[in-house]
Amino acid sequence: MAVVPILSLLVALPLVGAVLLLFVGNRDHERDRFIQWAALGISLAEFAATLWMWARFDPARADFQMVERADWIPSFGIQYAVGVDGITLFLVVLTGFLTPLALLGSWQSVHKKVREFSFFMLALESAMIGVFLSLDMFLFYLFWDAMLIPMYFLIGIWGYDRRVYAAVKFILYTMAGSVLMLVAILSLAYMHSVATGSYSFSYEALLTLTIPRHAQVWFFLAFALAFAIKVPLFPFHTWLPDAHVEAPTAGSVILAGVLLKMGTYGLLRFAFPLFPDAAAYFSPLLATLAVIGIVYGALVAMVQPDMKKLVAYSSVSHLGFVVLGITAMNIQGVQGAVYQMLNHGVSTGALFLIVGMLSDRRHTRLISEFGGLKHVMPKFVAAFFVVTLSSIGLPGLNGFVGEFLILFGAFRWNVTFATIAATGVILSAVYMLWMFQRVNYGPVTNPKNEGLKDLSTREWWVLGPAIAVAIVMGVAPSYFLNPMKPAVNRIVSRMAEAEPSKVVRVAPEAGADVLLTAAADRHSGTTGPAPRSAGE
Amino acid sequence: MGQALNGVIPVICVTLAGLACMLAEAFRQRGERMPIGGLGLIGLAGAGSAIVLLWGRHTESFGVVVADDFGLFVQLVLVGIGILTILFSSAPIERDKLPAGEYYALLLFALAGMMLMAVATDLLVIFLALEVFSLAVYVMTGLRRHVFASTEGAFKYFLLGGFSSAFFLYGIAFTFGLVGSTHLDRVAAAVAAGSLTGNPLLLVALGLLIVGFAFKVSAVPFHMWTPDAYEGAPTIVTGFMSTAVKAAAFAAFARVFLSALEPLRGDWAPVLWVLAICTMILGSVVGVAQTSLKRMLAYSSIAHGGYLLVALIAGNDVGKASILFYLLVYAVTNLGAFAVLALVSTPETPREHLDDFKGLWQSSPVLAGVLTVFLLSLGGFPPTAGFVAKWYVFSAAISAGQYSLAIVGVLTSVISVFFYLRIVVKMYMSEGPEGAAPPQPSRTALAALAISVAILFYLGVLPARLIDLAAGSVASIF
Amino acid sequence: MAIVLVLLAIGSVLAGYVGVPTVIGGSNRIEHFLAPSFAAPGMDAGGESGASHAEGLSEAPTVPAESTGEGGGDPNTELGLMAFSSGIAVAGIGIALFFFLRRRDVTDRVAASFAGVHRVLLNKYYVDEIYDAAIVQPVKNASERGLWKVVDAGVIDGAVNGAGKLVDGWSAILRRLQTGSMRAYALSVFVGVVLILGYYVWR
Repeated sequence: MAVVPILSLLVALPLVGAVLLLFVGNRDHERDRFIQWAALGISLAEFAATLWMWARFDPARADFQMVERADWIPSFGIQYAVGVDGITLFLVVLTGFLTPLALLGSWQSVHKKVREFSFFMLALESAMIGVFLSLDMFLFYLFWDAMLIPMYFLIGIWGYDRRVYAAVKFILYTMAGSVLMLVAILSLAYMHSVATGSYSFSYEALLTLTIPRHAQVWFFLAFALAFAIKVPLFPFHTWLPDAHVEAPTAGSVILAGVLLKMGTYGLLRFAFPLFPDAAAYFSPLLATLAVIGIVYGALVAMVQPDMKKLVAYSSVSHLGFVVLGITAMNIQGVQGAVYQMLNHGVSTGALFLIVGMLSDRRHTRLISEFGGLKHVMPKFVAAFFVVTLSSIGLPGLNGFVGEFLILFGAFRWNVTFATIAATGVILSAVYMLWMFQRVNYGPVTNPKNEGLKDLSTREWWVLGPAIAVAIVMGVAPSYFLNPMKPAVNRIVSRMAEAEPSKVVRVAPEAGADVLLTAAADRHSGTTGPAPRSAGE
Repeated sequence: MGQALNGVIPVICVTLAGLACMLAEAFRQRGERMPIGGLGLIGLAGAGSAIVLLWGRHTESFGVVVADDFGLFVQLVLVGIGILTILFSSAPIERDKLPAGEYYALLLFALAGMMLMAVATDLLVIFLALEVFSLAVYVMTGLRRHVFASTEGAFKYFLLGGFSSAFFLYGIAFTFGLVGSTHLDRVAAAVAAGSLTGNPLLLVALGLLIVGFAFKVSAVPFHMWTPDAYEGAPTIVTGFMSTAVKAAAFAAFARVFLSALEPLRGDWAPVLWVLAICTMILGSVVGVAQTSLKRMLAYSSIAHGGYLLVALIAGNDVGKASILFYLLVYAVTNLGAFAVLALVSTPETPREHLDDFKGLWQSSPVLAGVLTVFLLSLGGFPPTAGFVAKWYVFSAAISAGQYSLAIVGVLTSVISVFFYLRIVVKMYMSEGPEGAAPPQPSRTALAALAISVAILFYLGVLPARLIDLAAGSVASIF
Repeated sequence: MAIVLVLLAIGSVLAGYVGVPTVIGGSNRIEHFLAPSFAAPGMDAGGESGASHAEGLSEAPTVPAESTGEGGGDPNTELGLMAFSSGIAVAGIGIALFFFLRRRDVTDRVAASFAGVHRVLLNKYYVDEIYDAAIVQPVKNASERGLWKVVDAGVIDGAVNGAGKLVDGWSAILRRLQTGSMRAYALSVFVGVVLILGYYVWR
């Protein structure tokens, strides 16, 4: 029986489509529409393929499925290896889901160089899916780095006024963080060759490596820096508001919806399981930054005059939750983190699409320019409302499930972190509802808003799916949580064997003691019959 | 006698082609158009086939030349550079009104010298080859006689080159004084025997040899000639010298230091370490402030010399192979980038400065796209070959325990990405002047660009074969 | 506005049926909402070895009973709580009936005789105003002027852009070494030679 190499198909389909699009002659824009439809068609086919993958996915298995391997650079043990597990499954589906929405959302707003725009969007999709599916660190890094280029062009060519600054900042900041990860990856491969006599970049081979603890510290820091910048974790987040605000709508959607998840995905997939001892040792530090980010991002979001910037800072806050869930390293925390990655992709993606619709109509995103939209475009406001609630985490919508699980997991690990993080839930309601109120309620103060058109059919097709998914994920989370579970368990139980205390050989000083105890609590929380921290 | 010639047949092919070019030029009627470049291509094709035939045979000639796979690999790179350069050259020659016959003859003589240097196993022959190609390159730098900067660059290059050659020759003299021979095998035997250990004269000889090579690969602080010479030379010549000189010099550098002087690693590695760090940092940092594209790429090539030094210092099997891989990738990339610079400049709109590239994407999308690929490869972005090359070099550094070199290397490559992207920003993200006449590159030039881009993507995606080839060719000699 | 209240009323009547207590013969339909994160494992054919797998999952008992609760606990307590909460609701309905529907005059009289209290109550204890002055405005101002403009744009982003400016500055300084003067270039080579040879001779 011939088995379709579905994962390779997923990686290749958008790229092949993108390259073919480049050959469509498009002098004087006569084929713009055709190119847009073709790009949309390719991305929908890709989405269908991701769903097909989901259908074939065996939710009971914890290891990688549908694995495809081929020797690539044999002298260095580099393989083309792709596979999917419960964690990547939905991230890939999310990528497939958001790309058509982003393309459809920029139907009207992208006028120049439509062909190249579609090319970069589809190339980006390939690279993103490649990042999620790679089982070989070389392949992973290749996609990780390659992804920067299309995003750079998307921001730099089709963005707003300060697009060049934002694009350069985005690419340099991300690169500066990730090159050290490259050094760490190379060192890991070399370590493998010392231990076994042959190089290997395979993720699963590297998992079996016994890494000395002092080396773990350096490796973990190199990986964590790369991922922390991508997440972005406070205080590495300042590229994000610039990139988000200046990017075209489609760029923002993909940036917030998928790219940021690569940071948290990387932490969960690579930084933690590869270096468990160092990860356990640094978890409290990461969690501290995450919690600061939750509150800080929310507070700064609250006072933004620009809607896009508000949503950008809200991402800092939401992604802080995800990191907190990962650092908690128990089943609820991690499941919540993965769930929240999906939620954030759907809700924030939809928020950027909504802001983009306003921006298309009025060419401004300042909150003060709007007001009373409820009277002018009621359908739009209704959709906006659902998305806002989903972002806040209202029960019944997707955001609640993720935040609840994360907070529950965090609570079992460390009450302080959980308590502070919980204020972020309140603050998110504050900034979102306040913005919603100022934009949509009250009288129509600005005459320019009086004639605004309500949602078009195309825009319904953009927002409708996102809202539907938000509701489904809110009421039936087990469809998503069940397949995730074995893979999450696998990582959690691996981390349960971590021994953070052995990372530092010297006797812990008073200050370090706190960190170590907290880490030990987390450790016992995942294995022991009664979580100590929860009882305190 | 016939047998002894086998090892130098590639060099002879190229030399004969150079002579043919000279003769053709001499018999050319004034105003007659003659495909002189074609003669060069024939010679290079002959050299290429000879290299393929010699592959794996380890042919010795006259006791001073060994056509081993390492040398042949570099020769192949040089032949490739020669072919691409000739394909790019026709338009720039016409625009700058260069004397075609002299240009091609000098190009081929320089290549012959470089190819000899790649296979020479005697310090004196290395020196001879070095002078052969250096003299040709000095002249090529100053080929635009009516341009002041060109003459000035050539003059500086010539004087400083002479200065450093003197040091190099001095180093050879010391070596001869100590060992009684300039042959690398004898030097290696004497050094390995240990009788010279601790002899200060040996160290002086070592230092002087380092200076000679460091000048040719433009390592800091012997790099000062580079920006001026690169800017002064006709752009296509800059492309040629920035790639071919580096390839030849690194081949000999590696041969001398990694075979004959390998036992002295403890003495030369720290010095090269400092040179490599300074070269990487200065090349990438100063590149940031440049507004002339040629100077910017000049600093970029200084930085790339630093990465090659990293591989040289690593010096293990991975390191040696990565030198070869890197040289090839760098040659294709850098030559391509300079070729695009040469092609986009037209007599009406010279494009030398950053701002001249504004909106190039609008007027000539193909050239802009191709230049982008080259710049991304220089910056080390996947899926271009530049990424694999950098990965290979840094792997070598790490497998040799040179973490600091690897870290400085990756960080400086981020800095250099900044200025590569500045060009991309100008081309894609700024509006160009209206009505600027788009350059019309010739078919051959476009074909050469297409080949270069194809090579870069091929090696970026499927590098395994070349990696194995490079690893195989170093295994045979060191 | 009334339509909203009607909807809410319908919702509140129906919502109770989602989880009818077991003691009066119901069951909780949403209690397995998040089961995959809490329920006991067992059937997963995981990739890990059996031992560590079980270890990682043996946490089901640790979860407090009320979050997964099989039956909702002691029937007496449950009945008591139901009676108590229903009683309070009924009492509230009764007082409201008395004051607002039967005897509006009493309402006004009570309001008049406790004027101060009435005003405070009418203004919801001035809670909104106190909140606004004590929490909302300070937080808003601190966030805008402190966190956003100083910490975020100034310090953190300043450090990021500062790193870029640092490279720029060094670039501007180092490029001055390239004077164009032949003598300076020769000097540079010479200095290099002296340093290398000096290192070898005097190390």
